[in-house]
Formats: sequence, C-alpha cells, structure tokens
Amino acid sequence: MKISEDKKNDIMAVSVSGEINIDTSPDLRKAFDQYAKQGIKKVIIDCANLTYIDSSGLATLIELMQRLKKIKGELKICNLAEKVKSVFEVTKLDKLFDICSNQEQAVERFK
Amino acid sequence: MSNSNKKEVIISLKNVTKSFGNITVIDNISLDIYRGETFVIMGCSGSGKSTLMRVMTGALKPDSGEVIIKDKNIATARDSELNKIKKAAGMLFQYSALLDSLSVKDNVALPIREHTKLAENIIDIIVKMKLSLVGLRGFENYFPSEISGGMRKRVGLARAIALDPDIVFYDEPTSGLDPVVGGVIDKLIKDLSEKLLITSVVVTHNMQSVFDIADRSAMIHKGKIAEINSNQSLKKTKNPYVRQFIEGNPEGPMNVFHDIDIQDVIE
Repeated sequence: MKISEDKKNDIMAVSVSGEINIDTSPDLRKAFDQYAKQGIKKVIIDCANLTYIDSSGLATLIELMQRLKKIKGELKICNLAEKVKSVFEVTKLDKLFDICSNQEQAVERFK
Repeated sequence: MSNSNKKEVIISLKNVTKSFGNITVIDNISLDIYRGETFVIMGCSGSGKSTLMRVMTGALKPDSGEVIIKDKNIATARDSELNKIKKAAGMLFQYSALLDSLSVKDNVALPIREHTKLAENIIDIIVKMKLSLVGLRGFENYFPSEISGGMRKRVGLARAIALDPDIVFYDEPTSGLDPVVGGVIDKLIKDLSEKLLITSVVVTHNMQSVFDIADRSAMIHKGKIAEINSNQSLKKTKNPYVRQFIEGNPEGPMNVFHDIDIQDVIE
C-alpha cells in the first residue's frame, strides 16, 4: 500500500494505492493520527488505485469518520473501482460514507 | 455459484487416505472445490465426512495423498505456512464452540486478537461489522448463555468470518436447530458466500440444507465418494446410495445394520 497526500487549503486529499489489509491498515491509521494532530477537518480518500480493502481497512475508515465527526469535520471517499465499491455495498457502508465519483465532486460537496 | 465462469480450484484433494488403526476412514479420495462455490459433503453418521473436513482444515494429516489449499499442500506445509493457510479459512463448529466466559464481542474478536496486532478500537469496529452481517448488531455484550442456539450459531459464523477468510468450513451448521432457524442459518451461509465470494464447505446430513445451499454436493459412503452432483443433477440422480440418503430409506445399499458384523459383537 502506498499513501500520497495533497493538501489544498483546508482539505487533505489522500490517494491510497494497492491493498489496505490487516498488514497495511495500521500504517493508514498512523497517517490519520497525524491529520488529527494537525487539526485537519476535511479529508478526501481517493481510491482510484486501490485494488483491495478488507474489514480492517473499512474499520480504519470508519474510525477516521468517527474522529472527524467529533470535531465537526467530514470525510469523502472517491474514485472507487467496481470491485472495491462492491465491498462497501455488501457491508452497507456505501450508506454510511459520502461516496463521490471523483475528487472534484468531493471538494464541491464540502462547500 | 457466484464465480462459476472462473472455475478456479481453491481446494484440491488428490488420492487422500486416512486410517485410524486398521479402519480406513478416508479411502483414496480425490476432488476439487472451486472458488466461490458452496460445496456440501453429505453422508450417514460414520461415513467419513467429518474426517474428510478435518483433513481439509489441516486439523488431521492424511496418511497419504495431497491436500492443496490455495496452491499449498497442507499435508507437507511447515507450521508457519500452515498458520497462514488456516488464517485464510474460517470454521463454524457443530455446537458453535463459543467460550462461555467471554461476551459475544470478545468471542468474535478472539481470532482477530490472536492473529493480528490491530488496535482495540479497530477490532471493536470490525466486530460490529461482522455482527451486523449476521443480524446480531446490539448483542455485543451478551454472553453465550444469554442467547438462543440459533444466535450462538450466528455468533460462531461472525467469528468464522472475522478475518475475511476465502474459505469457511461448516460442520453440521443446522444440527440442533428447529427448521425455521436452520433455514435462517442456511440463508446466511448462502448470502455470505454470494456477497463476500467466500468458498463454503459444508458437512451436513440435513437434505433440506443440501437442496437450499449446495452448488455441488459429494455423497460419502464408507470413506469413498459415491457421487458428486450439481444441485440440479442431485434431484434426478439414480445413484442408489444417494437416492437412499435423499429418501431417508432404511432399506438400500447402505444397509447400516447389516454392515455391522455380528463377529464384532462377540469380540
């Protein structure tokens, strides 16, 4: 798994590529810990190059959303490939997360 | 079958034999199970079906032959490899095998705590997700003695899928349950297989379950495969062993009483 970050104004856009699984999700959580320390309230997770996400990855995203809600922040998820999208649908997390088609739409929805 | 067009073999048994003392329980069995399918192993008590599943799970080593799971021969795998394969497979035990002293939440969390170093907060969320999938959200703090048999099975199922396995083995998942609750468990098995693309291997002698959930089924008699059928061909089969089993007929080739040698009683 690789994480690349792009902060524009008050929005942190995080592109995650590869697999989020039991071995890699703790690294993603560490990155999210940093955002909390920096007081970032608006986060976009761009999944364009995400090939797989397991339950630990989904749980890490849920935890991030919980943290952001506590500080009146928001999380947007975008660019889900069909295979990854189906994982969100099966677990009904597509109803919980604000899923956008792309980063532009995500940024728009923050406004 | 969810992934029928791919037909990727996920479990392969090649000439597997297992004996206890001088009794051969599994006799030179070869079969392939495909990714995403629900494969049912059926047979009378003592036919060897549970032993066959135990060989597939790695709980028993065969005397000869190969058990290949996800391209690894578990009969010869080193302990570290075997652990990795076991992590990719979940198991629902016949009597759920929950730990009475642990809450529902802690029972489901058990394999996650044992096999990962995930933070407790993440484990809590995973447990809630798994309990939601089996319709038990809100029962985290109950103890096994406080819930029904059907609910215990569902907790066992949530625990079996806790680590997102590719394969789940079910040992008599509906035994001891009334037909309605048994139907609920069967539906869950089928739903989870289809939604999560889990390969399900189910040992049962409940014919209703076989018809409800099996993509394919193997009839085991005296440690050998009597026949492998698709769900459609099972209903029309003329195999006398399978027909006797489906019809629950005491008379037929599987003459269980006559199979007992009177000499055994004298000795």
